[in-house]
Order: sequence, then structure tokens, then C-alpha cells
Amino acid sequence: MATDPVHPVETITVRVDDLAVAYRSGRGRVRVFEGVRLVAAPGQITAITGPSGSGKTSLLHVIAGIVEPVEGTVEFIADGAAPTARPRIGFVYQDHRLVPFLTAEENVHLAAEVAGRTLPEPELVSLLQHLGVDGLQRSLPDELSGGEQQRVAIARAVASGAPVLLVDEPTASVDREAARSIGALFRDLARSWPVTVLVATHDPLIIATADVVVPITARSRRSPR
Amino acid sequence: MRRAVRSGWLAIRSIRHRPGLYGRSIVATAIVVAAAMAPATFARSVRGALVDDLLVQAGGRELIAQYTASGSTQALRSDPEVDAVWFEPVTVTSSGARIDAAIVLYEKPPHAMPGLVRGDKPQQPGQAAITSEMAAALSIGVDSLLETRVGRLQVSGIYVSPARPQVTEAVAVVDTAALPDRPPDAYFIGRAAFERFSGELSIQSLAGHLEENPYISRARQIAAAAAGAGPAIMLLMVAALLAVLVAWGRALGREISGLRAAGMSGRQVDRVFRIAAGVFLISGAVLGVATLVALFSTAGRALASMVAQEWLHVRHAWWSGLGFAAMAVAAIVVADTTRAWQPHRTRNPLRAPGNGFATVVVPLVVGAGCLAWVGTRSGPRTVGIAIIAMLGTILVLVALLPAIALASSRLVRGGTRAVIRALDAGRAPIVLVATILLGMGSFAAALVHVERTTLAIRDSNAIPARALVLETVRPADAAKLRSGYRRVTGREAIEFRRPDETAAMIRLVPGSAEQCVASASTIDAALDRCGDSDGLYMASVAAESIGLDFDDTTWKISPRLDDGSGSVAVVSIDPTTGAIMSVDSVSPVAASSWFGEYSAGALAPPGVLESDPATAMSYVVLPGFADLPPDQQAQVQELIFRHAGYSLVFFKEAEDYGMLSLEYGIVAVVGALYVSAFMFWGTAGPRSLPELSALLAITRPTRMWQNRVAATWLIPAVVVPIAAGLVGLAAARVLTGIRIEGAAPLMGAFVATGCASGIVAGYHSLRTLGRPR
Repeated sequence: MATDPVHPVETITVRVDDLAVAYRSGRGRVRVFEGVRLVAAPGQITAITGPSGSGKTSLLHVIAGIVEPVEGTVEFIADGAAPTARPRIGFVYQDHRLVPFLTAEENVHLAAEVAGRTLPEPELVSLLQHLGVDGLQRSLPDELSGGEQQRVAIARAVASGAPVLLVDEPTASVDREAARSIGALFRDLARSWPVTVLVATHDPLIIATADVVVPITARSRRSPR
Repeated sequence: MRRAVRSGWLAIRSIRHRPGLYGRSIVATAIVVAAAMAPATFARSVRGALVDDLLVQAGGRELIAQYTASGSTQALRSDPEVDAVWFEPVTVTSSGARIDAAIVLYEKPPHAMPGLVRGDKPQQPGQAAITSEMAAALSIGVDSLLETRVGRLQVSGIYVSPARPQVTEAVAVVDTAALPDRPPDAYFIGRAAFERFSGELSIQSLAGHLEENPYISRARQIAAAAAGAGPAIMLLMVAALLAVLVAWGRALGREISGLRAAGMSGRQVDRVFRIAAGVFLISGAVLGVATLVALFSTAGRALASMVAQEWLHVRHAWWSGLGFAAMAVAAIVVADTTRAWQPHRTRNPLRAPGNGFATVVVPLVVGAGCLAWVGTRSGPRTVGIAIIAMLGTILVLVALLPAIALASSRLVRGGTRAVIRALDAGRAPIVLVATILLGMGSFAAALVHVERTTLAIRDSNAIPARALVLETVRPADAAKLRSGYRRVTGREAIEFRRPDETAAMIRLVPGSAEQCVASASTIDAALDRCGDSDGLYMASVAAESIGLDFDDTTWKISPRLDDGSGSVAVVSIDPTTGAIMSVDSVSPVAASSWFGEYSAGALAPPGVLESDPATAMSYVVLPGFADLPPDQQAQVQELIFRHAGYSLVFFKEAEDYGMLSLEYGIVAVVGALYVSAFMFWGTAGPRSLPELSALLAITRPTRMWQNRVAATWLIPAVVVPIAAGLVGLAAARVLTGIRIEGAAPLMGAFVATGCASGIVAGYHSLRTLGRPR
């Protein structure tokens, strides 16, 4: 499996320690959360839970390097051994964010190409089959349902070869059956690929599939600039 | 290379996916390009037509300007493309026949000599080309010999002078030694040199040395207008382009986020859309140019008739298109589509009000100044014009004060302010740009309006307001004209006779001197009535004038006396009795504007004084012409045509220039309308409506409809244009000191502009109202 071009070449453990995030607001800084700790291991699903506004997405953004924390550290440990630089990270957005003018297949190909990887046709078919969207390769995103778009988005993230998959509210716009299916899919992905999956969600169906659950408590408070 | 290919492929796919968006962008670009090139092409064609007209009027020669000062003489004579010439009245004899003729002497072979029907232009000293009239009168042909005071001349060619067939003259090249011992009377300037000199003339680099030919005066005005319109048009183009890019970037949010989610960096995504932008901009530019070419080609004659000017062919202002291309490339390079669509998600420093304001305003102000400087770069008052342009832009920004007040927590509180601020965050820069454009448009429109008015209609204490002044009317024609004007309108026309044997005309300053002159009937009485200081001037001038010494030197005392205090009195005196025949007082207005420098209202007759009574000229004032009903105006125009055809040149000059100025005003306002409408569509249009609805619903749920209409229509689309228009007028008034007459039509234009853009924005708003997205 490790020689498969689709699969990541290494496994990554994500370790978050004493993390705090704050945003600048009109009259000062608003601290979103603080003291967050977690360890997400390869082959596991780590669910980040909490009420709306608690900072689940912000935590994913910190791990992805989009947002700088005000306190704490994020470490990536390669193959369970030494800390390494931030690896390629696949991000699955709540609103899918597929390129609307590319077909499902081209979306996946593009991500692989941008990542500098090749994705042979059989592997692509295999991946899409695995995600249950085979046969929809030539469809544009607007021709797919929300659940199908979500699966293609997952395929795209996986195809980039990212050893870490950050998933933001994957079931926010799908029905219960699709949500259950997506949960199972993540578990399968995490086990078989294997990738480190961190899912920000408050959906019990997804939480139920997680190996680790990290609750975040909203701790918004304003401090002077 | 691989990445470039991928970017190109993605760009093409994007274009194929959104044909409507790209189609609109292409059309918008085409309109911008066509609109940008049209005025310049129009002006260039008119100007070219003027040169053609000039060639015909000057008997087929390129007679451009006459000079009398030695300073300019040296400068011009050193130019290889300029022919210095002397006019000599001589008696020509050949085989016993003799005629009196005007002969034009060259010190070197003339560059061009249109109208030759036989032979060649004179090439060597001692050769001459003669008119067909002279050839007929002397019964001679090519190679015949002529005896003249300047030596023996061999006829090298025969030409026709279509504009002045009655004139008998010759063009000769003679030895330098035979030339009159005085500065050249005139210069014949080739077209290329004309372009160069007219540019210089437009900024009065030779002011004080130059006595202008009336034709070049007209060409100069149009050239100045064209050069001055450049900055405004360029800014319009840039703003329109930015509007297209911003609207476009916002519309492509899904595409951009999709590519980013696929792992592409912001720079890579930008590259894709820069390619796509290049495609639509190039396509749009080609379409725009093609449209313009087709339009001017098919409607050239109709457009020419708008300025009462024939033109043989259209002279397209390709430089304008090239300027657009350069601007487009620059805009594409700096465009940051990934940020343009995400103003609320990225920590964009431009979103900070101060930074955003500076980012938009500073380049506009500096750009306006730089463009004004470029437009008039060789003039002595260039810096002043650039500063005025920048000040005008800054003053126009005052229109934004109400918006700032609206955003102030002290004036507006609570949810209402939240809505306004939220809206402002998204579109403040756009509204800002639109406001500046509208203000500048009104500023420009006000100036051209003033220019048009002051050029065509002059008013003074002595001349009834809104009179039409016809210069260079033959005295006999002037009498017929006065009679005809009395018959048609019941009003008396006023004739000011250029200096001749019976009357003299002088210019006096300051204006107070005119008052004492006006209340007296003779110079002696005037001296009694004038104060010491006035009398000093009066005595000084009158002493010379009564002595009938009205040569060039006498005429040139007026600048020396002009102390810059304001009014200038023009007094016509009977030198034999000292009686004051007429008094006119005018207030010369010197102004610098977007359109260059000009002086309006100074009623000093131009040109060299003509001492020959046979060719003396008058100028005639037709009081109240501007207020006549159209049918009477038409009758008077016919009178002018019949009795003072030569004056028609001046009449048409004012008329044409007025039309041209009006064109620029219309372009400025319509351009601003187009850009602002497009901007409002792009910002307050469909995409921002859900956000707007949500915000308004939170604050005033029961009045959402009304609030929406107010926020979408009234505040940005109506209030801002009107405020900007008013401030533009005020800026023009403050900066030029010119009283702006007829502001009502301009205000009407602003209101119409605001309403029209409001309708456009409102139409798009209502069309999508309540529609799920």
C-alpha cells in the first residue's frame, strides 16, 4: 500500500500543545480558545467537538498554518519518530470548494498535479470507487449532490498525498444517511491509507466514528489591544 | 513551463465555464476602449481637418503662423522644417507687361507647394512659382523671366490658389543678400513641424513673441482640449478597468476558492486569472477598436458635421489604445483576485479605512497631477496646472464628508451604523472612486462649459451681455451686417474699427480708466474727469493715439500698461477730434484647467495692425445674440455668411470649439455614469444583496424594502453623484475664479446621472430580490 502513488509516503502524528487563538476585533483582541492539547495519530480519526463559535475551525486553521496561534505549539512527527516541518495537508471544507469548471475527475487530478504527484487512471478509479463516486468522474460539481461533492472533495484531499487530512464540518450540508456514510468513509480512509484525520464537527454520527474526541470549550473574552 | 501550461488550461476552462461573465467583461472592455479612444480620435480628426482646412485657406501652402519678434525668429529659423518668408509688394514686369503683385520670398526652397499645375516649385535662388492669374495677366509660362525689385526671376512652375483666386502673387527663392533687411514676416511650417509647434503654442511657450494666425489659434484650442481631456479619459479607463476586475474577481469566488482548496497558492491562482483577464481584455480591446473604427468609418461624415468641419479621413488616436493596453497590463499584473473576492476573510491591510483611503486617493491625486503634467509638459505653467489638477481631485473628495459623517458613532448609532459600516467595508473604495470620477467629470464639464461660454460670448460693461463678437470684418461688410442685424433683431450692432485713417483704438488699464473715458465724449473731457493716476494713463496713451501713430510699436504698449489689475478698456478714438467713438471694457480671465491654459474675455484684437485702409478690418459686436430665438440666430448666421464670410471662420471657431467642449463634457459625465453604474452593479448588485438583506432585516425588519431601496438607490447612486457634482462645480469655481454660468443644466446632468445609475443599480437589485442563491 505504501508504494501506491495515491498514498502518502510517510505517516504524520500531529501534536498540539497548550494552543491559544485570538482574533483582533474592533476594540481589542478576542481570545477564542486556549490551553488546547491533542495528539492525532496516523490511522485514527480525531474529532474536535464543541458548540458553534468554540473555535473548531480555527484550530484546524492553526494546524494548517493559515492562522498563527498566540500561544502554544503545533508539532508534526514523522513516522512516529522525529519532529518534522509542516507536511502537505489536505483540507476538506464544509462547502466542498470544488473547482466549478472542472469535472470531478479533473478536480482530483489537479490536486495531485499541484502536489507534484502522478495519479494513474486505475488509481483514480480505485480511489473514486473507494469513496463511492465512481461513474461520476465526468460530472461537473454543480451536477453532483452535496454528499457526492463532499466525497469528491475528500478524494481530492487524499489524492494530493497529504498524510494529514483536516476536515471541517463534513456533514453540515448532507442528510443523515449520507452523514453516516461519510463517517464510515473517514474511518475506512484512516485505516486503509493510512492518514491522520482531524475532523471538526458537532455531528454525533461523526463523533461516534472517531478514535479520539477533543472537546473545545468556547472561551471568548475580550482583552485590550 | 508545465505550470504555465496548466494555468493556461485552467484559464481556458474557466472561460468556457462562464461564457456570460466573460462575455460581459469583453463587452465592458470594448465599451471602455471605444469610449476612451473616441474623443481622442474625434479631436484628432477635427484637428487634422483644421490643418487640411488651413492648407486650403492659405492657398494651398502650409501657412501657420506669423511672427514679429526676433526671439522667436531665431528659434524658428533654426528649424529645418520651417520656411522663413517675407512678403513683398512688388511690380512684376515681363515682356513689357507689368502688374502689381504680392511676392513671397523664401531663403531656401519651400518644403511643400500644393496646387502646382505646371512645372515645379522653386528650387534655386532666382526661381519663382507664380499663380495662374499672374501667368494669364502677363501671358507667360514656365521658364519665362520676370523682372522685379528683388531681382530677375525664372518661372519654375504655375500654381493655383483655390482659397484666394483673386490674389495675384508669386513664390520665389532669392539670394539671402536680396532679402529684405528685417525679420521674416511669416513662417510656412510643415505638418510635422506644425504638430510640434502647435504643442508648444498650446502652452504659450512663445507667448509675448507670437502674433497668431487665427487658424492656428483654433487648432491650438482643440489641441489643448484634446491634451487636457487625456488625463480624465485615462483615469476613467483605469477606474473602469479596476471596476471590471473587482466585479470579476468577486464573481469568481467559487473558482478561486476551489483552486485554492486544490492546493494552489494565491500566486498560482492569480496567474490563472491573469491569463483569463488577458484574454477578455485583449478580446475586448480588439472588439472596442473594431467597433470604433467601424463607427467612425460609417458615421465619419455625420460626426464631422457635428463640428461643422469637413474631414477627409479619420485619424484614429492609436496612442489612446496603446495607453489603455499599458494600463490594462499594469492592472492585470497588480490585480489580486484572490483578495478581491475575499475582503472579509483575509487580513487585508487595505481594508483598514486609513490605508484604503490612502491607497485609492493618493494614486488618484498624484496620477491626476502627473497626467496633467504630461499633457502640458513643455509649458511654463506646467507645475501650476498639475497642482490645480491635484487640488481639484482633493476638493472633489469633500463630497465624501457626508459618508464619513454617516459612519461616525456620534451622529449615527446602533444597528443603523452597523449596517452602513458593513456596507461601506465592501464598497467604500468603489464608491470613493465613483465619487471622484463624478466629481472630476463635473469639474471638467464646468470648465469646458465656462470655456465655451467665454469663447463664444463675451460680456462687458460696454458690450451688452451675451453678445457675439465677430472679428476681422471688412468695414463695408460691417455696415451691411449692422444694418441686417438691426432689421432682423431690432438691435444695434456695435462696430469697432481696427486702426485706420479716421479712427484709432487703444487699450487702457486699469479698468477705472475706462470709467472716466466712458463718461466723457472726448479725450480732453476724459482727462478732466479722470483721476490723477487714470489721467496719467490716459494722457500717455491718448497723446500717442491722437498722433495717428498706430503702428506695431504703439500697439504693443498695452502689455506694458497692463498692470494685471483686471479690466481692460478698449477705446476707439477719432484722432482728428479726439472724440471717443466707443468704449469697451472687458475682464480678461486667465485660467488654467484640465484643458490647458487659456485667456478668455480679453477683447484685444489679435494680429498685426493693418495700416492699409483697403484691407483694414473691424470687429463687430452683436449684442444679445446668445439670447435670440433659434430662428433669428439662424438668420443672423446667414447674414454673417453673406456679408462677413471671413468672420465666419471665427464664428465657427467659437461654435466648433463650443461643440467640442460640450462633447468632452458629455463624455466626462457619461463616462462617469457608465463607470459608476458598473461599479454599483458590481458591488451593490446581486452578489451583495443577500448580505444586505440580512443586515437590513436584523436592524429594521419591518422596513427592509424601504431601507434596501434607500441604501441601494438613494445614498450611493443619487446623493453621491449630486454631492460630487456640486463639489466639482465649487472646485472649478474656487480654482479658476471663473463665474460659472448656466450651472442648472450641469446640475440637471448630475441629477440625471445619479438617477440613471440608480435605475441601473436598482434594476439589478430588484431583479434578484428574494431569489434564493
